Amino acid sequence: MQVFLQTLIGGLSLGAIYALVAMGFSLVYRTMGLVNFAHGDVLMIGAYTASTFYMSTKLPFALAIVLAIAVTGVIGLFIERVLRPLENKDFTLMLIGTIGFGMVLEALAVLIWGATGTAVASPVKAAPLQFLGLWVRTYDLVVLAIAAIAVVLLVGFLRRTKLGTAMQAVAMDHEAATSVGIHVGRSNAIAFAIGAGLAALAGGLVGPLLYVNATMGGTIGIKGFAAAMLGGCGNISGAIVGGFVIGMLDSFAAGHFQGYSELVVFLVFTVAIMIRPTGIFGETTVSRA
Amino acid sequence: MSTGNGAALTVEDLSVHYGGVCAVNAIGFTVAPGQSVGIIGANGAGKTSTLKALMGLVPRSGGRVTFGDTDLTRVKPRDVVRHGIGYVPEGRHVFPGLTVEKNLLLGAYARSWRDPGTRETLAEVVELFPVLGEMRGRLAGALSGGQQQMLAVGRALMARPRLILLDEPSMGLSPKLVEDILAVLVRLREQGLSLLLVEQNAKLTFEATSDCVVMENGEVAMTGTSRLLREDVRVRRIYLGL
Amino acid sequence: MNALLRHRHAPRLATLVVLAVAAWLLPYGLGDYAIHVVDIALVFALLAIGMGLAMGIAGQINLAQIAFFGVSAYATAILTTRAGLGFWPAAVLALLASAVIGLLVGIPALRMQSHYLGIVTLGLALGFINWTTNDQLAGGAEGIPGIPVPPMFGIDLTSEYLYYYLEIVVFVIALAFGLFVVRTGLGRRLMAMRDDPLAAGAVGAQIPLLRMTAFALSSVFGGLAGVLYVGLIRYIAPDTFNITNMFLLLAMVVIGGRQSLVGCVVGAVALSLIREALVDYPTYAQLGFGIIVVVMVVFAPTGLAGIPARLRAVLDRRRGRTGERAALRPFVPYDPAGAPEAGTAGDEATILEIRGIAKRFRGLKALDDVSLTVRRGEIRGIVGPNGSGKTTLFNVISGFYRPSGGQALLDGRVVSGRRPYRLSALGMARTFQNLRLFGELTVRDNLMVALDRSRMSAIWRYALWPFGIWRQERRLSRQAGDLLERFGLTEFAASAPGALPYGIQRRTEIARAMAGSPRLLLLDEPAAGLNGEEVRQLSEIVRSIRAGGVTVVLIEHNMGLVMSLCERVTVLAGGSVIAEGTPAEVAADHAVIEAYLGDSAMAGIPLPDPTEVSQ
Repeated sequence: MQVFLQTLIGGLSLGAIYALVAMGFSLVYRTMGLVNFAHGDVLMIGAYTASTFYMSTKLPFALAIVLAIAVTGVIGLFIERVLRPLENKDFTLMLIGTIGFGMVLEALAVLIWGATGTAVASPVKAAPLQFLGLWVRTYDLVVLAIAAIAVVLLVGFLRRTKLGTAMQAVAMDHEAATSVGIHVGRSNAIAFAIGAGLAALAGGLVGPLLYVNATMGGTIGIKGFAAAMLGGCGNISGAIVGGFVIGMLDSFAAGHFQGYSELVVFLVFTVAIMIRPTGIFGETTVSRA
Repeated sequence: MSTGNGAALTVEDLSVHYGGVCAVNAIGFTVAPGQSVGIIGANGAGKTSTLKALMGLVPRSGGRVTFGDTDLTRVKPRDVVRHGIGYVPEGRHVFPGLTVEKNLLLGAYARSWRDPGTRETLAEVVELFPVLGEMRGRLAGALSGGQQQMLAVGRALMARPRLILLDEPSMGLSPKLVEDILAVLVRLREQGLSLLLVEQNAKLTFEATSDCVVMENGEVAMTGTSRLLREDVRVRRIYLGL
Repeated sequence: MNALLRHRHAPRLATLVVLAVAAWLLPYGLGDYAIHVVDIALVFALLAIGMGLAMGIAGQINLAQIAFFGVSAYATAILTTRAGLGFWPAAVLALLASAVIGLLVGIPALRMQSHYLGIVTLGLALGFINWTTNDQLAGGAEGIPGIPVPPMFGIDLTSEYLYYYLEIVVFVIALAFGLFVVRTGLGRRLMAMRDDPLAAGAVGAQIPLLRMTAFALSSVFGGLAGVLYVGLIRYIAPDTFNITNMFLLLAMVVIGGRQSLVGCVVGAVALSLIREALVDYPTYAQLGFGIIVVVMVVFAPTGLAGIPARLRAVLDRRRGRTGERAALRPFVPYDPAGAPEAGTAGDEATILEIRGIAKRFRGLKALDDVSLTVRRGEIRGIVGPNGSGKTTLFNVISGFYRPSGGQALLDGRVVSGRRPYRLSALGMARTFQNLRLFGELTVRDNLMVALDRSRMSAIWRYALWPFGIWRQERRLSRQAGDLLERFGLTEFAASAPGALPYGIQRRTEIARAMAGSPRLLLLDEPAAGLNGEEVRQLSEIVRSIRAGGVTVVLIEHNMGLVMSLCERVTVLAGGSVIAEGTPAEVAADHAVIEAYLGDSAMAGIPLPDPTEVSQ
């Protein structure tokens, strides 16, 4: 039991990361129906940018992440602009187009940062804490706290602000949104930028947990999508639940199946998604009248 | 609501094509300030396309549309509301996952939410539709069809329009609710708002408007005062294809 | 086959001969390394064909192609080095393994499509990579060295020159088979499913089996590539099967043109060569490929293969539309065979019976206790205001929706809840309100998809008796010619439906529905968007179809058409039947007038001359 709980706790921080990835993915998906396969690579760029600012420029970790969010936000705006003609049209083409962007981002990362990758020192030096006989890394708590703050801010933005409400309205009915005066294109662009920012936050946070390299986006990205689908595509609370489910499954599989953890995770995921294709909370799609 | 406005809606030779299909063929009519005009006709006559073309939600293939001094064909669909035209789409199209209050506030998107005037308008709309006040915190998707229709009208009123375009507000509603809609329309008319009502329900339209356009196959088949058209047997022929 | 090719395809035959000679002579002009590059390019070309079949032809997003490739490569390697099997027996087993994995990966496609399928297949591919890098059996990160040279009647296949000839033979056979599939019944069905799965189901295509077939085909081509790759390199490591290569493969297919197998091959060969030319700058190569993919997707979604057609279209437009001259010919009426046995009463005469059908969507009642009976040989109209549930009723009858209650009976047999393709086999056909033609197929192919009544189980013939397929093709083609002639569409046979005037598209859809020789034809707003003359022609067509012994049920807004065409009219309002009777009875019905005009009082106004009504 103790071992099992310890394993689950080990999955918390990665679960929070997947939740952030899934949230960004879901936000974009439900606002404009765009499935962004470059999301994982945006995360990778965020991780590199944050680690560069943190390690080389010696900026504080938090500031480095904020800068990384800004940088990826701009990248997000660019991707959205280029792929705008495909929005709400052809899923397959969009998917391929974002994969193309992913290839570009990966190549750029190699050109800028080299192919070898870097380890990022943990910004929290404190020793692990012990609760009820379970060990918790302090950095994991930091990740959880920051992810929680990000969730609160995002939900607050969507619920409390005029712009956030308008973005939700666009997601639900873009024609009605237009008729009340909302600039749908701008709303989509902002959603994409926020999505990219969330990926950068996840990337910045995951840096000290994993090794940062140009191909890290692949696995994390796909697990993030898996989390989003498991929770129900386009659903914010689903993304959070899905993220933690995948994180813990990951940790559990790593503990029990060692090298085969990914195989196990994706097999379990495939079976789960076949049993319930719309995810735990059901899909929230854009309306296509 | 607002009164005493001076803008007339003038539509000339308006056409709409989807692919190769002509949905609206060079129609024309005017809505004078404070006037209420109905467009009636059977399914597929081109009524909804006409309204959407006025809003710019479907591409116009020809014609002129002016509102006061504004050439609406040059206005982006999202800016039409800023020129004082409110739109109640067919099938209501409220934002189902947002609360009633948020739906209403989004109606005033083009204005500042902090503006005391917005709160004032909200109070007026709630007064007009008390049920929306009671349901303020509910999700719009959980409302009944009739309540959603009220919400859609209320949302359009939040922009303080001078002209309001309504697309089939009676669709799918019970006769009792249709009566309620009629009462609302009459009240809006009394407040001096210009109305353009697209309806299949001819009875409702005749009672809510002063003048009517009867459309058939994308063209204007007849025009006249609602009172005279009401007695005209040709209207029924057009509807029933006799 | 030669006889067929002689006259029409003479230029194409000449091209083939030139290509064959070029392929024969190619190794003589290449150095050691260059021939290696060509050998690798051919492996990728095979992979790309498989990918194109799944993604481009069948519309199934398959991001696990690299895993199918890997499965057979690893299976061959393991079976030869660990189990001591000979190369070819191992290769056969490896192909089987690859096909089995292909079918397994295809199972999720039965439940999900598009991006969902993309993520699932990519995830499974990642799982496979994970296995190869960790399992001792697969050699882990070091891979498996020392795979034996494939024996070949004493030919020394360690020579990459000689191996090239083996590859080119396999490649040509595989490409020819791929093209054979694409150009015949199975390929047409796959493409129809890609363009519109609902309509494909309605004309009798067995969608679940087709999806599995797409994955099976894709994996067999991947498996073939894997076997050839192992025989060539004789060493494998996980790196070959990583996601970067998966995406490179995707880029090949997208850039070449995913809907054309030849395009896929061109893309694969071109990118392989470019990658090799930039071997010292792999990152720049990837950057370039990524940019080209994005540009292609936005500006040329059909890839290089689609560019000639696009150029031709632009030129045609410049020259002032040469295609406009084609004209719709008059409809040739059906023989009034098997006149409706109007006299026979009882169940014999009932073709369709709807018993208390209800349909709810999330609590919303779309249909509530709808019952109606259609007699054989009748033309029945279904009318009603917007949102009264007419199309929902059609969707229930034709198997698109499962009813929440009640039953639909066709010839006394309960058919509600059955899949559309089964209903099609039972003699039901339909058209759609918003036209659902297969957009990327020609008008002729649209009809041929529906004419093809063969079961999916007959696809074994592709592997074992292609001549049977060939004969069936010729028969279908002849029938399609007759059908085109009958509906006056002959001059549009080679056009893509999307480019045709709306009236012709409507007529094509009716022709497609009639291609399956149905007994019951459901028409959903057949007159929508038609002009007066076209409506008149439609009415003539429907009458003739009925005279040919087919029962017709039509939803229509054009009341003039309904009144003149239908013997009986059923009126729906708010999801219930509010009236039924002859057109004249219905037009005088208070409830109907109230539903339409909102005012029963208006029914009091005297009716127009009754003779006009029956017109």
